[in-house]
Amino acid sequence: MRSRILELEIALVRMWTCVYTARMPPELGAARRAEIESDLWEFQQDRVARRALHPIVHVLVRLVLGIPDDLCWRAAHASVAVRPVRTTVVLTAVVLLVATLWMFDAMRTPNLPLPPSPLRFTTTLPPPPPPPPPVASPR
Amino acid sequence: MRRKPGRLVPLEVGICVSAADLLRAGVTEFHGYEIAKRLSDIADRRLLTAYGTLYRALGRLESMGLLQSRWEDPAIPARENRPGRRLYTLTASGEAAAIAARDAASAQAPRRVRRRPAPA
Repeated sequence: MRSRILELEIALVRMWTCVYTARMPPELGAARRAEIESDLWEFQQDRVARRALHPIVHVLVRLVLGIPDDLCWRAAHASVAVRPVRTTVVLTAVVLLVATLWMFDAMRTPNLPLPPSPLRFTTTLPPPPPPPPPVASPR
Repeated sequence: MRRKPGRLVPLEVGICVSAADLLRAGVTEFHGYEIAKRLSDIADRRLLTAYGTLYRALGRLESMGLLQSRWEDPAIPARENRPGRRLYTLTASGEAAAIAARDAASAQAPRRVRRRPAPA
């Protein structure tokens, strides 16, 4: 389950990298994507770093904290004339929303089957003894 | 953080100093993840520098001429079945910046005031 979440997170990092390098000079975008890919690979191989903090938290925090710098980097290198502030705000909002929704969904308790009802011990009382036979009265 | 022109932000200083340490240890080239690990070790932090922050800082240092980079020979990652690494090298200017940063840090460090024993 955890490795599945980590895989999803790594996919999210890749997706975000593709988003903010889109419509940039091809060699610049490809270089950034390759560098992030290498970083992700090194992290997955590095058992020491993975022990320091939970890998899922690690990747997510590194992604989220780096978003402002990613956007600034894009704004500094983008060759296309886009409305930078508006685009930046919209992109940030969308990514944060997706990340938050996904995180809440991942943290939600899955629907587990209900535990079996506790055993009930019933004691059955033995039947009451038969009434004593009527004693014949002496005449 | 708003930067003053010509001055390095603490992360950039940290990268230069770490790269200088690596150079002194005989490691002439390093990749992004390696320097992120070294930075977190020095600062005794459990978290590595964020992706965007790290690679933006490395790019800035390269554009300032303090670092140089090259992509490793594609045959190596193909043989080792991994993505290619971008390898950075500290330039002479970068080394000078690291030395200057270290000198400035040692000058700013609070001096220990030796107390004289009170006269009897």
